[in-house]
Amino acid sequence: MKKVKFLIILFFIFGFYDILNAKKENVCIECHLETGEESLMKPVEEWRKSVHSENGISCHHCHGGDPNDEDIAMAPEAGFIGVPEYEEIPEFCGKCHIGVKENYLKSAHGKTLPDGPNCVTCHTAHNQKKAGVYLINKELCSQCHSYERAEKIKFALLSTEKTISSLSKRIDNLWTNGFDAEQMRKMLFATKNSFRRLTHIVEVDYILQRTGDIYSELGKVENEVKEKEEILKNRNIVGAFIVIFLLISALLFDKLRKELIKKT
Amino acid sequence: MNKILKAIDERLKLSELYEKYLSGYMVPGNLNFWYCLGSVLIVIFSIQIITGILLLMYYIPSVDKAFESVMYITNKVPFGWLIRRVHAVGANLFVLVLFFHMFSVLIMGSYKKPREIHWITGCLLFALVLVECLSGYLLPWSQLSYWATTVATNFPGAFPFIGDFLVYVIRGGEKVTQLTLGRFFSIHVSLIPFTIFILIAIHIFVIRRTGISFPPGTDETKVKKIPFFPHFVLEDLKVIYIFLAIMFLIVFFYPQFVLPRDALIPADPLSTPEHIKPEWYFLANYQFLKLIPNEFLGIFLQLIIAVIIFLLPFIDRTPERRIWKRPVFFGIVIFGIIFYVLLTIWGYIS
Repeated sequence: MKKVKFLIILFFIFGFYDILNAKKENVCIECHLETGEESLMKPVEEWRKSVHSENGISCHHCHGGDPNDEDIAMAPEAGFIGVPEYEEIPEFCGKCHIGVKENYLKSAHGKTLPDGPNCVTCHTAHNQKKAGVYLINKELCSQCHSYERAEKIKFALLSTEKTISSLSKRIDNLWTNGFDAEQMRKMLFATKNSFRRLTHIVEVDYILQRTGDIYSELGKVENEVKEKEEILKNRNIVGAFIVIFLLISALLFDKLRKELIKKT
Repeated sequence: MNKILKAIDERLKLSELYEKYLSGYMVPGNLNFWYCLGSVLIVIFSIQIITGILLLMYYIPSVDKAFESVMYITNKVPFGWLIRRVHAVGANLFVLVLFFHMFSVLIMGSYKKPREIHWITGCLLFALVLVECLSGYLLPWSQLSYWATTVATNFPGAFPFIGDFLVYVIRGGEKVTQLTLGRFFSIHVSLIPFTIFILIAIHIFVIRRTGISFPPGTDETKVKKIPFFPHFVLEDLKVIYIFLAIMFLIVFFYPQFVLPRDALIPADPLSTPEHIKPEWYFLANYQFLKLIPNEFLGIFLQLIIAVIIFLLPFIDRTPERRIWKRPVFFGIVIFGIIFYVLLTIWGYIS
């Protein structure tokens, strides 16, 4: 009996050792937060709210290094770049945003390098939000120049931006309803990319000239979306009929049963 | 036509069976909605088997092809989207109706002598259905299925001495991989459905042997009896159709209830989605484990509760079935249900 008790106690003691020692998923984040220094913690907090974080783009994707091994996390041999100099930022972001970089370098903004506005001036360093026309605003643009010219560009872009945003929502709705949205997303993504590139040229006439091409591409995506929405609408009509039929049948069964019981 | 039917009947004596097991089988006339849930469960189980067989025709149990094959089913196979959704919603409805069924048996004291075997087979069926749901959850190999399975299969690891071994056996390795998918697929489509089928047969057999229990508090000698067919079958059909209407309402209009966004993204073992949680029927257990500071203790306490529920007919041996005459039992049941529902809600919003 004593042996049994001893075994039960042993069982519980071992049970109390929490073996859940969660593996560190990203040593960059862990270490930055563990330091307790605001200047090191802030980038993590800002990144968590960013569009990069939403899409799984983490520290090492931009800054290099090994996020799985704290010993070599910041080793140059693991590709660690660290914080870029101000003039290096367009190249730094341009590793992924190739087309945008190309157009930016050709623009009035790009021509003022190395001191002029670059990516982080409008998009911030870590808390990047989903890009949109809202970024062209008086507060931001007036930091460097008058808003008048920027406003004209914004006006030219606004309607295209609205169409892209609405199409994106409609595609998302189709996707959550089980439709394969891959193709539609790719088409919209390509068009959106051309549009985003266009915004970085900051040239009103050129933007107006290219908007027609972009609209024609968006039209193709919209046709595809409409076709799928029609299928969804038809499905819902059939669904409504089935549900109503089942409920009416249930009522009829109930009535029939009551009549049968009355008779017997 | 009549001649053919007569000839068949002369040989097989089907009318005799009809009279004995359907029109001549008398059941209490005051049976209510709760007595129809067993039939609802049989219908849902049949739907799951049929849709499951149809899905099997196109599904590929491989980590490289599983998600792709599911996408193919939902987008290319005629009515594939409908079959998949019915299967997914059906699984959830199965668990929900099973909860209701067991709740009614508990409240009406129908587990008491001579119906202990009904309760035992019912509990085993409940456990098997949960395992069936868990194993089926992994098969689409989506972000949701991969990470929910990773979380769920972690729990046995909290057992001292044998924990790691248990996890290894369940997963077929240290992580959720092709080996896990293979074994989950195998038990999901063969072993568990077959065992459920056998247990349902035993459950129905014992019900027919003891007869359907009278609602508690009724005088069995005074209650009028009605034929099982067509009278009671019509009541069954009414409730079945109501549940089918609920099922198709979700299938057509709210598929996101059972197929949220993470279920539409292929599994990525390197990217953990935020707020990954188990299915709603495991949320209370999950939240309970989060509340107890030690994981092993949390699992151990839940096992004790499960064993008590399983052995209930042998613990509660008083013949009294009327709930209002059993205030202590009623209090425990109500407290247990409120606690369970609160934990589920808490688990959902936390």
